[in-house]
Amino acid sequence: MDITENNKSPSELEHEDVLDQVQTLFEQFTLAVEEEDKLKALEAIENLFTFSQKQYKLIDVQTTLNGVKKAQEIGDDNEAFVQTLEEFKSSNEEERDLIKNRAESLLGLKENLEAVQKTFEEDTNTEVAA
Amino acid sequence: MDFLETNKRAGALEFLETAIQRVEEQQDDVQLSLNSLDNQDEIVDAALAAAEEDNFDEILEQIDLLEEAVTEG
Repeated sequence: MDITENNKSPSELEHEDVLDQVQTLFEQFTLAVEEEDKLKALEAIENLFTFSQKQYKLIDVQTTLNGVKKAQEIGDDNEAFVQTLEEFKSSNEEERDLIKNRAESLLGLKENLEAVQKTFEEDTNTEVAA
Repeated sequence: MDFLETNKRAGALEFLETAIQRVEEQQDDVQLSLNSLDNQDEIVDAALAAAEEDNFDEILEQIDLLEEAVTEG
């Protein structure tokens, strides 16, 4: 083990974990591009996006936590972290809208796929009957 | 019967089945994400309520829960 590892603070190690995870997800994307697998590449980009989004949210949580600790130290000023919590909730609302749009797209895609599947099955049944 | 066409159709049907299955999995993921957002919002509301009462222990507890919810979500 690298001796310098022992001198790293927990936040530095955590930061490295995040970078490792980003690198892994990016390698998955690069591999999919090399293999010319569009679906896999899309999935890799989606995973990278979801992971980044989660990291941003965790930073918000950390900011709130620091705000609470500060407010606790000085006694009565909790305005800053209350604002962060309200912003967090508002960004969740935006995320919810995006997810709902995605749900609608998936529903439409599924309906289209099922319609094509039905047509193919009917054609096959007609041929078998003939 | 055109066997070549029938084989092509069988391949396409198999592909469609896989694609539909994949979409269903994504629909499940979407539902889980929505549930996670609901859960996070409930925690934020509880933290805001605790902030109104200046109950710092409760706020810190809720923020721990929020971190957990975001990590798992």
